[in-house]
Amino acid sequence: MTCHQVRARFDPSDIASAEVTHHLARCADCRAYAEEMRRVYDLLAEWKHERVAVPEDFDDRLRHRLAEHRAIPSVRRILFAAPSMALAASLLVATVAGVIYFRISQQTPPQVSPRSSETATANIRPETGAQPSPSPAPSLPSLSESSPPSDTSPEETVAAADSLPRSRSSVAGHPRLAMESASTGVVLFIRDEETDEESIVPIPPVVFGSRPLFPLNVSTRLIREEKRGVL
Amino acid sequence: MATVASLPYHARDDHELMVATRAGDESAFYELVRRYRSPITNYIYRMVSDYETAVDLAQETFVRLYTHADRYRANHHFSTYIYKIASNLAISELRRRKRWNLISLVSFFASSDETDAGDDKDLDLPDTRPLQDAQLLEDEQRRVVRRAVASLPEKYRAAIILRDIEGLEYDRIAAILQLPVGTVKSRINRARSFLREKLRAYMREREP
Repeated sequence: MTCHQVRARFDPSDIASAEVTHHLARCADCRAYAEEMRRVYDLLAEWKHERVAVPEDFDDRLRHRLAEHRAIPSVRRILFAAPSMALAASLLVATVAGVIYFRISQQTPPQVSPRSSETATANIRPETGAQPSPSPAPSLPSLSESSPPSDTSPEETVAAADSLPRSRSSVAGHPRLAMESASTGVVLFIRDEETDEESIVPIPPVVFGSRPLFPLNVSTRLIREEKRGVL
Repeated sequence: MATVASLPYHARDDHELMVATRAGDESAFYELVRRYRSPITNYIYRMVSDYETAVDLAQETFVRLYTHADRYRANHHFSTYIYKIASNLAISELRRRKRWNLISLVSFFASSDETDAGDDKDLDLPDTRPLQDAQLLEDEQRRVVRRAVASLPEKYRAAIILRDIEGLEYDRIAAILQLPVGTVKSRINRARSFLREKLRAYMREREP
């Protein structure tokens, strides 16, 4: 038996096996180790006698606590006690979720008319990260009217956009739109395929807390403009 | 022949009292409280080293015992069951403290004298009664051991307190901590080795 095995098996709270005893008899190091372990055990045994008293009002406090516990039933207890309530709660949550989903899907047009999809192609670029289109064109008057108010001119916006990083993602529900996002906002580049004219619409970000959010209905707005004949 | 229900509460064993508690007998429950409030409070006190917290968690142990009485199964001793609840609560409290940095794990030997003086300075009123040397030594020894045990990681602390202070068998400790017996033995051995290191200087000082 090795020293390591003996030390692993030595238990001062128990009777040592014959093998351990035999090893301790002829190994001074392990004997010293065992002696220290016995003294640790003795110190702990002394500590055993230190006992704290339970407060006199322990039972009263417990009664009060149990009464409080009975008065406020837990959610778990309600759910287990009344399965019909759990079912009703689940149905309510499902109904609310369905209504919200339906409302959202109503807001996003499922299809784009052939005319509008052919006449307009739009790129949404970040105010800060996009390269201007290859042939920059002056803004269309009608688009300028429909764009959100902005303190900066489109040219200034595009110039500022060159310095920031960008990423590209498609706009949901409109396959011909592409959006480049950045933390400061977006710029909408719209090109009429028939006339090959382009216009720039800066769209400020919607700031929610510390995170700017892109206007999610940008494609909807664009299509509404198209239907009204703005584009 | 007397039935269990006809026996006075103090004559019934823990299991019978727990069965009665499960059936809604509050007197049976308070007999269990009377039997275990002191051991459970002391066990939790040794785990968390704070009296108010120990009393609070001991009460919570009994609340859970009562409210979850339907989960009690007589597979183990009743004491194993109640120690399991108490251990879980104490270990959760220690983990919560660690998470929120409510305790500062200062080095035991480097600061024992300084922190003792500093901690007691504002809290303890001067005691003018004469103290016996033996009493002083005993108090000091207990304080040193308490601090050493409090510095152990909670997984070692629970195992060694249940074995060397509460005096439970390995298989019952294994049931309480829901660990294999081999793991329990290993943890107790590791805990003793930790304490040996922590207490070595103190033991040398006290050598004749």
